[in-house]
Amino acid sequence: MPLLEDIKDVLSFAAFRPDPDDATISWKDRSSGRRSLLINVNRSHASWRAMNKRGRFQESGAQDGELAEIASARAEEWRSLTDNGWCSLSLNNRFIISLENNLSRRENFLTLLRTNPKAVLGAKYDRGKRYALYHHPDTASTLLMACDDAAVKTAEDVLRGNGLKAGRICCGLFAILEMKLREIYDTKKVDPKGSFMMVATCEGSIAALVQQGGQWTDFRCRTGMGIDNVEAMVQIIGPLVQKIQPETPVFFAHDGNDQRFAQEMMRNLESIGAQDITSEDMLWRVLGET
Amino acid sequence: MSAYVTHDFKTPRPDGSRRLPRTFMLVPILFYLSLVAGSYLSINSYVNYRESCKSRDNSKAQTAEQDGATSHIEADIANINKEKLKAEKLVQWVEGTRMIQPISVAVTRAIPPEVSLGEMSFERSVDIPAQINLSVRINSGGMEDIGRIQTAVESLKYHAYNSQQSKTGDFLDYRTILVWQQN
Repeated sequence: MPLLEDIKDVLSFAAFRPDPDDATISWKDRSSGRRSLLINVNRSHASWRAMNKRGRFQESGAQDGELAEIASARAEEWRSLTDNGWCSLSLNNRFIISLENNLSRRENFLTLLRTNPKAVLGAKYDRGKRYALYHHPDTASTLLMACDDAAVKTAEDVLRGNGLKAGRICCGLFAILEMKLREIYDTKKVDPKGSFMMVATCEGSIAALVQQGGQWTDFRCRTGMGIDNVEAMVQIIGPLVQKIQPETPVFFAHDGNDQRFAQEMMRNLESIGAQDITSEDMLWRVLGET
Repeated sequence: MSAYVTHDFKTPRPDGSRRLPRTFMLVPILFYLSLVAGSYLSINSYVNYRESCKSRDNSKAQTAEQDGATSHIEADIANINKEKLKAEKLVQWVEGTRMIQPISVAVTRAIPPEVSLGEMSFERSVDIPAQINLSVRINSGGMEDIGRIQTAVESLKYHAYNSQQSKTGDFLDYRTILVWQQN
């Protein structure tokens, strides 16, 4: 009886609350009053954190293996941590981030990117990918993230098959990078026309961006490196470090889940004067609050 | 951090519906307000109804009590009226039992010396003492003497009814019924 359901939704005010999969609303607002689960998926590892009705972080966990195996093993536990099985999923593999120029910045580009990405990306659009982007506030440069469409669909199917629903699918590394860049530009931590280097890591994936003279000049990204291989990560950003001037500020942000890895990274980055600008529970806050 | 919304590339739901505008929240709010107001009015009306019923029962009891008192008073008034009637009759009777002596004096004085009064009798009914049957026999008298007697009697506020005169030789018999006029 759809009419009765509609009336019930109006009288219980549910019709005025955002749907758990409304991409235009922050996860905190979407999940207000209901428990949800935040999951970060790597190629052979997954970690998760539960959020209670008040938006506070609760139980956490991690397990090695592919998402399909982990989800089927943990399905009951994950369902018990949510109301109606809604999850916010972060895919931390099968994506690439690139530096682009002169992409469309029309007013509703975020909505268009979901519904008609070709209208935003033009010739750069590939139908086998799903996209997210972040524009430089002052120049025509854009960070473009492209994730495999098949990976997204697989993740959705796996969750659906285990009685869970994907309310949002994003890329945790790109989200951390975007949030910290916004913070740097909004709080004017550096001169907008100046130079800096931003390094972001998320459970074995790394991205590094260099701005020189107000322009994004270099970007490197690598996924699926694992959290034990700090040396390999430092090697990824090595060529960028060589390009920047000696006094250039370097910012480092990580997922906040592995303090040992973060300390190891900072030991390697201290020589170039890096500042750790990671917030507490960085990854979960990005997934659960924004 | 709250102004920033993380990107989302989930497959859009085909049956997704848009949220209703916030102004439409007035609909459930008014619904619940009307429920509360309706409940308040219902409870208030029920309480008032109960009070009205109690008040009506009290009024009925009071009315019955008043009716009882009224009928009691009416019975008393009827008794009083009955007593009053009896008293009035008694008063009339007492008023009717006036002394006959003044009439006899007046009749005697009304007869001139040359006319002799043979007989004079007064008869009074016990039931109607206000009526006196007067019979007078006059020797050597005429109608003018009868007139004098009537005038004397009327001066005592008696009215003569059904007067009859009959002459037998020198005797003139005069019979009448005297009724005392109160006013």
